[in-house]
Amino acid sequence: MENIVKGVPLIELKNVTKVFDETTVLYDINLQIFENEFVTLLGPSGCGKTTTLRIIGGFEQPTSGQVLFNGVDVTTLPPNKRATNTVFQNYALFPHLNVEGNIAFGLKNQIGEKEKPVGKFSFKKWWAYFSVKFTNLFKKKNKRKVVPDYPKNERLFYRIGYFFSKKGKLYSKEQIQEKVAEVIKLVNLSGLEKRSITQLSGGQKQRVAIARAIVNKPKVLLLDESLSALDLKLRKEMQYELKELQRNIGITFIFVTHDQEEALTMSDKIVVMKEGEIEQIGSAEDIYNDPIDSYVSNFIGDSNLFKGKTIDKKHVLLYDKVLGCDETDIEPETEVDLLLRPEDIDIVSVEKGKLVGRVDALFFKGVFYEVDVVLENDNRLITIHTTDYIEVGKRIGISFEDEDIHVMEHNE
Amino acid sequence: MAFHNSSLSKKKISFRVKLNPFSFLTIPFLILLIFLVILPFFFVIFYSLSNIEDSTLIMTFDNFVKFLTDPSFWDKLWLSIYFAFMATLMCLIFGYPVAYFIARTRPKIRTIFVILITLPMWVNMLLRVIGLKSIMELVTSWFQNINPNFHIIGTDFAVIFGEVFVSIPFMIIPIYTQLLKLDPTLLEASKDLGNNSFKTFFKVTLPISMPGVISGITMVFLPAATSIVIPKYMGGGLPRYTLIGNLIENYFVKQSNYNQGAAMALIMTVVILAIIFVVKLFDRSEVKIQKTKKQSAKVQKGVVTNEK
Repeated sequence: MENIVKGVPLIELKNVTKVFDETTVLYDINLQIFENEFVTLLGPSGCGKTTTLRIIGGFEQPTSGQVLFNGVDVTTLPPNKRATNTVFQNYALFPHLNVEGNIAFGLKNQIGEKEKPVGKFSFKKWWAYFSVKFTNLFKKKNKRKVVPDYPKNERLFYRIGYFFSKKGKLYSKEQIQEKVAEVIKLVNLSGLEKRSITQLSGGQKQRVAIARAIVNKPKVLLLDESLSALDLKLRKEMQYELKELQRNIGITFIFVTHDQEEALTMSDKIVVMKEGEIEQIGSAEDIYNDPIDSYVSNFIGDSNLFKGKTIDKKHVLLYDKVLGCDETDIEPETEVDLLLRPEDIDIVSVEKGKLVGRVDALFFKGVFYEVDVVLENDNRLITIHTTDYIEVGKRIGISFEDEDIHVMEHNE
Repeated sequence: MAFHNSSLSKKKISFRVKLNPFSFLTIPFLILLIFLVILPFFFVIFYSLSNIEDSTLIMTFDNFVKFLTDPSFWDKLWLSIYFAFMATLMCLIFGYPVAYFIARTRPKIRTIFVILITLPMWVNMLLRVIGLKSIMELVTSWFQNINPNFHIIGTDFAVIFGEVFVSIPFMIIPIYTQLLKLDPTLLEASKDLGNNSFKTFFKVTLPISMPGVISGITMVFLPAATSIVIPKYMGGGLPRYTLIGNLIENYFVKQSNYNQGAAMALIMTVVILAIIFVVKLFDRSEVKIQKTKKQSAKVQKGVVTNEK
């Protein structure tokens, strides 16, 4: 369905497999990424998310499979020829350049058609320009003459250069300066243009790294756990700024993280990965509310998992009790995992409760209390988030809406 | 507020530098430095500016004037610097790739290579040069069967080869340590930003390894410009290869003419200093950092005074 609506995907991974020293890191990855999406690759360390990103960026070649950009096979194209730019995990800023130099680094490499030389070369005009420029070298700053205007594409050397090659640097020095100044403003680094990289804080480095990548206007921006080195407050701020940036400049972001909260707040599309395979692809709401299995539900948010059995589309069996549930397509009479999110559970009186338990511990978490409850059915511990204080040791009933029970396929 | 200020003004501010309690450990070397480096340096200056005429000591610039107006001295000076320059260039051309690839290999192989490169340094330099000379003589004797005019010893090539052979470790090691610090993701970042491998080398690898290159150049050029042993043995006794180092040696050891020897040594020192200064200009990264450090120090000072 999505395919038909959005047309050809910007990036497509087809059956990508990657083997490092006889261990398979990626196994048969199929992924489509569309224009203007904020896609997050989410998973624990070692699940292959960074490798996937590196394959998209061109730093790694897949052992088998294809990488397509706009339907064109780019599998063997090196990174310098791809329409992607990367924000590296350790930022990888060039220590021999200052902030400006780092940001301008990519712009200087962009190649385009040169402007055509204008008219014929006039020696008079050149001498008028050169004599002033030369004599100015030996004068004090305040006594220098105004250099007459002499456009670059009228100059002799430009003509000779143009004769040999019609292609050259896309941007002039002035254009590069302009673009750098623009992007420095965008990422709030004004005043630090000449600062050396070693004198920047973590957050500033991060912003330089982002500026260095986005100034080239790539089709796709790849971010490799770029926020993991920041402290909580700064990270929240950067998350917001990144999302804002993506809205403003309208490019596709592919973000790699192991932080589920980060993924939920930022992404249009989350790709949950596990041991080199894609577990589930969907929007943040989809993944949180309808996780495909216990792995995804455990990875995203807190969860209480139960073993149960389906009865029909709208009912499941839990602890010999028939309960209503969220609608499911799983066939009746199959073993399933049932998911109850801690915040969906209400604490009620014992008589009204669908299940009964005893409060084992209570933790204050700021906005809510986390309550550990031992169920009477099988002495297992479940977690509840509530805003009300509750005494430890009290016998309580717990209740929930029918649609709060999410049914998932059981896997070993 | 007023009370606070007056109490502050009463406090005596001491400007004593806080010394590390273990800094006395440097005293033996400091004594050595004073008596064997700084004092002798003044002696050299004194000798070079004085002369003994009719058994009386007179102060004069004659020693300098004599050399500076002598075209043959300028020839020797030029030749010494030319040989040192060629040796440094060759060390750089052949040493840099070695340093680069050692820094890229696995740690185990790396250590083996570093040991192999520094291994010749374990043998006395004189012995190495004599050994090299006998190898060259051997090779010469083979080739003389084909062409009787063939020579290695006593050519520019032999002198430069000798310099390179002795001092190439001093070029490789600093560059290697500098390249070891180079983060490989920087190379990836450069490629990501549109450079191919070739451009990446000149825009990232080389500038970052520049401090190593500079110290390598210094460590090769300085000894090469004033070397005595290598031109002596590799030059085969030809007058062309009596370089500045040998001339200075002659004045001091053979002729016991300390005044002229000292003057020549001083001229050489000034020339080398000038060259090193020019080389250091190329090390832009270091200058930048120093500047910014000074600036930040100023800022900190400003903060402190404001607080007072």
